[in-house]
Amino acid sequence: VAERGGPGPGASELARRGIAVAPALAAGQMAAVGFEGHVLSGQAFRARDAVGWLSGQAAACRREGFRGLRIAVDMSWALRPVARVEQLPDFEEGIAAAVADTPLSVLCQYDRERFDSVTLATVAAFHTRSVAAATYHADAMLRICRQYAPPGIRLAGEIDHRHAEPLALAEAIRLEGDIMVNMARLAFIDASCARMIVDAARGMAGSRAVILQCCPPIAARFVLLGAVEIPGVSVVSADDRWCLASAAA
Amino acid sequence: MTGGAWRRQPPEHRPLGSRSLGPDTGGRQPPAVLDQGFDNDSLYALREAVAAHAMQAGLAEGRVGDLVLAVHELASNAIRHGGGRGPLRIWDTGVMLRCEVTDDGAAQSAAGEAGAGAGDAARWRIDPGHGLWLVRRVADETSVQAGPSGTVAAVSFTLPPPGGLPPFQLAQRFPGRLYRIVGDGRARPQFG
Repeated sequence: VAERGGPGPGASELARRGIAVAPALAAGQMAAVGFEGHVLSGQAFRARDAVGWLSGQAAACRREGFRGLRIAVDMSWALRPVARVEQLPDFEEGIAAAVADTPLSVLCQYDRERFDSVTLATVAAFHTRSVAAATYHADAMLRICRQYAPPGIRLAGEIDHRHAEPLALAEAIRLEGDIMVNMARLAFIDASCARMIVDAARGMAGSRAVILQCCPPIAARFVLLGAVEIPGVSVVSADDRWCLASAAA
Repeated sequence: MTGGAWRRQPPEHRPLGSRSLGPDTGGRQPPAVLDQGFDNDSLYALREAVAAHAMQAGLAEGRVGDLVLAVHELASNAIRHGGGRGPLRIWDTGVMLRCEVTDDGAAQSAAGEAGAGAGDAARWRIDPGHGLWLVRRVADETSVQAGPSGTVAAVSFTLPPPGGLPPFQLAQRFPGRLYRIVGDGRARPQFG
């Protein structure tokens, strides 16, 4: 369930990960539907209707002889000006009840970058399982995890020399193609960690682009350390509205 | 005995070795607005306290971040290459915020050495791209002085005049180098 029906941009992402999208769609094993008419009705949300639609889909699958049903829901609709969005916890609670002891699984995808932590904490309680990106380090002060799209790593919180070990740059270097180091939610970085990132970027940037995404105070550190002078390395704002790059880039 | 000016350091008239750590107020030493101990496990608390005092003193947002970084690096240096802990003191002179980190590593090791000077020089060396180098780039004044209670590393940040400075902006710091990202994802010069 995504913004629009049809395979859309998600299909290529699924194909990249080895899922044969076109044959599955053709065989009726997979369907891509939009929010409207399924989760939403005229830009309004009713938890009971949305849960009813999901339950109906599960029942239809059983009738058609499928052994189970997996539904992935992009939850970004809840960030829009939607009426009765406050029923979101009711929706999650209703799903939890509907999937219990059934071959139905529902994956609610919340973008950590866009949903606030209070909402995430509220809805997380209704989920029997949570799936997060591969996490290299997580404590009260710092979280370092893999970022899947664009490929790279994501750092949030505050990082200093005590955390240089789990910086996971080696993991990022192993990824193919252009690399993003997402520091949009990083509030502090000390010289030793910033230098480590610049050194890694310098090593990678010969053959591919390295994007350091960060807020202005953190961006200033990387500029001082010369990141912008390295061809192939750019410093991009957290809101994607500006970037600093070497003249050669 | 060692120590030296890093940048824009005013002439030092105090006799070396004296324990005159606070701002030069003609003999009167006002109380520090912050006097906080730190070690490797309390750097976060130190940064938070420094940020709060810097904001309270009226530094612009970007300069608060610079000050926090500078103090963190001085404290880190004392932790990693000195005695492992120390006090941080901040004075508000009305014109500047002066932050001093005292590292007693030199005093601890002095007994077994001919003098603290050689150790100090190694401990507070400035390597390009490293912490103390970054400190020198962001602070308005920096100094390192050796004294009887240890090495005192200080940074000062000029407070904005009444009315305040414009907020920190990369565009002002790096004219001609800031690009706007347009719809096709490519960067276009924004500030020619």
